[in-house]
Amino acid sequence: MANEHDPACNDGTDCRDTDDSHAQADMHDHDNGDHDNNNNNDNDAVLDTTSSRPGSPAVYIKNLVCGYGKNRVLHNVDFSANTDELTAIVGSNGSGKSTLLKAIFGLCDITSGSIMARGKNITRVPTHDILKHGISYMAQRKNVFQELTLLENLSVVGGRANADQAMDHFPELKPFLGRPARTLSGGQRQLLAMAMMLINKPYVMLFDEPTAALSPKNADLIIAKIRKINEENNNCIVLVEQNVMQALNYCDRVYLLASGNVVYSGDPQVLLEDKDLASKYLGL
Amino acid sequence: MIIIYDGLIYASVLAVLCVGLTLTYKITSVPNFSHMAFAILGMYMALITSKVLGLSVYAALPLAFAASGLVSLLFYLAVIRILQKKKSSVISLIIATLAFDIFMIGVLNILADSIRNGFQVLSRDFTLRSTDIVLADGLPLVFVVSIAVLVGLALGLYYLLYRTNYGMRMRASIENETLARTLGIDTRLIFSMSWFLSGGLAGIAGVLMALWFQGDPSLAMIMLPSIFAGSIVGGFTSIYGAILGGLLVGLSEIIGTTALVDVFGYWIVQYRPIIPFIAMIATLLVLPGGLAQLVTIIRQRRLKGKNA
Ligand SMILES: Nc1ncnc2c1ncn2[C@@H]1O[C@H](COP(=O)(O)OP(=O)(O)O)[C@@H](O)[C@H]1O
Ligand SMILES: [Mg+2]
Repeated sequence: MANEHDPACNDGTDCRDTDDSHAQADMHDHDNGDHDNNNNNDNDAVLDTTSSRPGSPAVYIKNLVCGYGKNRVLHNVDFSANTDELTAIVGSNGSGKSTLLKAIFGLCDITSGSIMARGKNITRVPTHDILKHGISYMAQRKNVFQELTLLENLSVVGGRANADQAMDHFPELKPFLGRPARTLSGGQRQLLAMAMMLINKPYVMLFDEPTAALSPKNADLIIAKIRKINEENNNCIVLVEQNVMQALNYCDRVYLLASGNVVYSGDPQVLLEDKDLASKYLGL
Repeated sequence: MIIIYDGLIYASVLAVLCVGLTLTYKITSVPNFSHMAFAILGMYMALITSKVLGLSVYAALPLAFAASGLVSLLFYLAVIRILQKKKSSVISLIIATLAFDIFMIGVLNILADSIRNGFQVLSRDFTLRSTDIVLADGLPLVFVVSIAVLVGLALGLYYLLYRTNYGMRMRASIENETLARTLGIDTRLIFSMSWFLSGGLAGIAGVLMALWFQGDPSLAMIMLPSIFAGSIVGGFTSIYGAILGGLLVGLSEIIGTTALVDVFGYWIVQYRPIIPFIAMIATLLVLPGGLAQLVTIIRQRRLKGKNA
């Protein structure tokens, strides 16, 4: 079932064009040109797991139907997120944003459809092996081990040496390394969760509402960190955000979900200008 | 002297069994009513090693660890994992472990009869006490080994859980399985290993028991109240609680029974399980979190005292 979609996916141009219908003339034009020129090599290039060309789909989801037990949450969702870009997922509560991220990590029941990561089909890969495909995930809640110390939280993911290295990016956490994570403040806990995600130098980072329940100041700090990671590593970032206006201003591409369907995908500015969609789904 | 040997050997063995029972409960949330069966399998490994193979009983320790560990692992993979995948209730899991205990008693009965018929060896209510080495002053080796095993286990588990990366992953998987899996930890492997370890430890406890007490398949049912009492007194969540709980229940059982015999006569021995039952019920009524809860309360009091 899932493999039927391989040919479409190995061809990066097809993947993007099917999604980009809303944003024909947007800033990614040069990427499309690039794909056309290299069309013959695309199969090899995308299958190579080390490839991280800017603008190529790092995650590509087709016809995804999934949910929890008999309860279907997402209905035929197509989604792709590109290397080097920050893709935001927005939509009202219960629209299925978290479920979409969970599906990539095998944390919900997939009825049909396929999930590709840099050309590899990962639809049925067990949760604990997804990280090996260069994808990391930060859950909305319970994203650190409360009873483990900060250092242990980091070491669990990548061993002691990597833990020390990760600390260089998060000097804010250094004074607390020996403390159990449950003693951290909300903002510090999110920083720790981010540090844990970064340890394996992922190509794709999935964030589920990293700023929920934080003060505006801490929320800005977290978003600034995420954008900096994106710029420094040129990786693919997928961000579920409840602060829609802000997210639309800094993301490269947006998906709008409503009741488990994608109702818009493409350029965030186009969405803002679309009075119908904006008023119906974003309350603008 | 004999009451000291009886008490401390029994208490140490019980503590080892309580650690195993608590380990699988804490890690996979299964109250395992077949845990004693793994110990009795160890007892029969001791009998076979000593009376059939003619080796030292202590040679049975690694054998029993491997055999009981393997049976425990297979039970987990073939039954418990599948039930948990179907999101079965705790009640279903308990019934499954009880059923497996009864099944194992059947297997052990067949094993006991085969040993008697095949090798003309006494295989019910047997003891290997006479084969044990006696150290200076009539000190039996099993006494020293039982205590050494318990101390070694306490130190070993501490080292494993708090000083190794594997132990860190174990603690992480216990606290939040989903998070552990998204961070690349194969929790299935960790859960499987904990069942192997728990069963293996029970096997070792069984060998030590055979060296001092009497072995019989029926113990797989008879001793269940004692290991559950010890674990519950310890709090059923803490490894060190389980050690203390096991020691406490074990000593009370031996000393209490001896005292009762002095007062009422020998017939009272029949009612020995009443002691662990009382310990279990008293704990659940007064301090449901067991000794672990007590430690937390004392710690909080102290913190409050400091802050005030
Ligand atoms: N673990 C779960 N079990 C059953 N239903 C769930 C579970 N998680 C979410 N749902 C349901 O799936 C739908 C989408 O949830 P979710 O993806 O969390 O939405 P969002 O993140 O957009 O707020 C909701 O109707 C919710 O009730
Ligand atoms: Mg959500």
